[in-house]
Amino acid sequence: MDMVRVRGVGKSFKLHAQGGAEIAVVGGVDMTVAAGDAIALTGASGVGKSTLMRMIFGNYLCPEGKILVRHGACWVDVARADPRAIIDVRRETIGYISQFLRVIPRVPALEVVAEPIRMRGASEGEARERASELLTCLRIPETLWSLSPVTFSGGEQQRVNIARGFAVPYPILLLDEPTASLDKENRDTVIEMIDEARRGGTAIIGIFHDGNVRAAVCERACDLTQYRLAS
Amino acid sequence: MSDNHEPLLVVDGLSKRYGAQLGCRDVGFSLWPGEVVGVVGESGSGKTTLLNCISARLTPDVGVVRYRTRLGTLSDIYQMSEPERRMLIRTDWAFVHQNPRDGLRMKVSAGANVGERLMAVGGRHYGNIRGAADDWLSKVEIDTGRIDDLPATFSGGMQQRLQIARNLVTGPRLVFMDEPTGGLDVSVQARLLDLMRGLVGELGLAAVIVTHDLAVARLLSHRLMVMWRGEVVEQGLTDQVLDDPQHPYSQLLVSSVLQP
Amino acid sequence: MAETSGYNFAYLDEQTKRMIRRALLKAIAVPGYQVPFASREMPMPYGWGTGGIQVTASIVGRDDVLKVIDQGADDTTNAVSIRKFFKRTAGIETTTQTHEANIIQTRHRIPEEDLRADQIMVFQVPIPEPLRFLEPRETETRKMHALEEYGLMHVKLYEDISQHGHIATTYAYPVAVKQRYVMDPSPIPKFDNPKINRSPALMLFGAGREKRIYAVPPFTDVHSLDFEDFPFEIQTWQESCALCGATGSFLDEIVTDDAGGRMFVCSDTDFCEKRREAGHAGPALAAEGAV
Repeated sequence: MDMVRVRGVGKSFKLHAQGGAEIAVVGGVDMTVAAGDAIALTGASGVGKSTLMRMIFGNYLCPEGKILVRHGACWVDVARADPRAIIDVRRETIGYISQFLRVIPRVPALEVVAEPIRMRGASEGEARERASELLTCLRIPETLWSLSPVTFSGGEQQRVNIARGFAVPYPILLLDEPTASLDKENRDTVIEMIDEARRGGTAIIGIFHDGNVRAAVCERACDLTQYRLAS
Repeated sequence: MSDNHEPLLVVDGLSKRYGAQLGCRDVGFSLWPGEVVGVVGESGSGKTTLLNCISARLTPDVGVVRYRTRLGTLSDIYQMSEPERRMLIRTDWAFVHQNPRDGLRMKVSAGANVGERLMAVGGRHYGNIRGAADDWLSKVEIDTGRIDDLPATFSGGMQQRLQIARNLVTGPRLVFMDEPTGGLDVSVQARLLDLMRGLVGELGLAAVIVTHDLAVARLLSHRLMVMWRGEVVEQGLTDQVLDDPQHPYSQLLVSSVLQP
Repeated sequence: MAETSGYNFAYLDEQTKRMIRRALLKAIAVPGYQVPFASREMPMPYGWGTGGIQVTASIVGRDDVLKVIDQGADDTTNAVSIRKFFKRTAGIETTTQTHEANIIQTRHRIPEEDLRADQIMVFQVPIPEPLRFLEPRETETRKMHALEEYGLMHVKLYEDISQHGHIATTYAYPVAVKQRYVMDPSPIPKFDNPKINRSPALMLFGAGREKRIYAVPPFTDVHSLDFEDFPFEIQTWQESCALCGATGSFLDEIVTDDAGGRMFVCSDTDFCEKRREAGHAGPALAAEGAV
């Protein structure tokens, strides 16, 4: 079952501070991802991988084309949807694990992970329990759970980020360099978590600079070089 | 959240001038229950004018502001009778001022400040009123032992939290905030923002927050409106407006923020 | 004593009396509501009862009998002066006996004796606005009365309880008239508040400096503000009146010597005298053997 249909998507940035210079990134991108698929976005740095991912998430505007996402029983065009619809899609359908954890001071790590679970209606206790499981799985010591990730190392922050991303099951998961700051042991754990999600039917779109990780997770690749636009 | 599909506040074609000076022009947006809309812009952008017009504190020249009362109907707030409007302001709405002194009675105790709205709507049991005040003080992390102290003896951050407690005690559905963290120390701001984030989520409040601080906007609001010279130049999902700004002014605003 | 020539009956000109009577009628029609009126310059300064005097002057007729009390007594300076004023300018009969009077002007007390339907009480009021000390703006207090926004009044009572453990107001205790307007009953002790509730007499209130008149018609519900768990209570004394032995009247404390000696005596002089005439005696008189 198709979960994501990217059709004729194009993106350019207009930088008004630089006299209106326009930077064309991609044009005419076509891609389909089905449930249980894991597809890697590839291409040189700057080709537009993160840009495309952010457009699918609704974080970047998509001026050309359609980004159709299966949300429950119907299709939503993220490129045209209003903000409330996108918030709905993000809560129920699309998970996004970015490269960096945006840290909010004072919010403890456990709460960071528990939040999406509570937002789906779980009780305080249930949310914390599930959050604890994930943090344990990713080897975050229990002593750190009640602290804000502000003081954590890059790797620890990333693992909290990942835990949050896997806290609730999403039909679609977007992963932007999820293992970048991790050691081998944790990398393997994350690969296993991604694979488990995929086997459960999640459609996965990922960006991995590490060829081994990419190979371990994704069976297909979409090279964005073919969609690149000359500036 | 069953009435989530109907907007709580609908603003249409709102304009206000101060003589020859433009306050805001042709502003329109809707707000749904549980949603937080941030309004950002620099001084003179018209954001405070907008906030005052939609919260019944300043009559606009043109335009309509409609609020869905508890009866379920969208009512024009400027067509309501004054008693109705004042009742709304006292129960269903809350207004958090930038300077807590504008939103508190400085000469009565913290407990009386929090209990006032309850008494204003008919609360006549001292024990219950005091109990509710006690409750709210601990919710906003003020030592309940200070319930009988005057706000003048509180720090700025505490006064601001007291103002929030005072406003939320009657369970309003819509909160207006005018630079709620302005003038506070950074660590105090963090605590206040954390509190506000928690309360908004827990109580399912709808809110309109005016701020010049983009970090506050990112943290608290679902949607963002960027104002410049009295007009809304861009609006959309908060993270989208901040990460992929389209309008020249929005781009300028975002790129001007220092990253520590 | 005959009228002093050159003054109109009861000092005020007839048009002024009509203006004040119109204000009184309006006040009676809306119990507890403060009616503005064009207060006149009187031959005594503000703070000396000009409001009460103007009300009395507007309603008094040649056959009326006037009693004037100040803190319950007929013989204090102010009461004597005002009584003399009306004798000179109206030539009417005056009395110290509550039951003989049909107009009773008072500062700070209501007589102990039950009032009758043919009697009118006129109160001298310094600050008519019960909310004034909480909200200094006249524009705001007018709105609060108009919109029945009295939460602030209860804030004051709340503060009292939180600071003192009980409502500390002992005089000028705010009341709700007919469950609608909140009114300041003038600086009478709270002991007297229950006397206003459903009294057969008409109660008129005049504030000269503040230029307001208000009224409570006969048999009107008037209740002192309180909390459900801190109900309104009147003052009580352990002592009885040293002169007449009364146990249910408002007692004044009188210091008798430099050694801390004191005695408690009825504030209502007429009431006390009547009791003594009837043969009652308090501890002081009994001690002197004056039976």
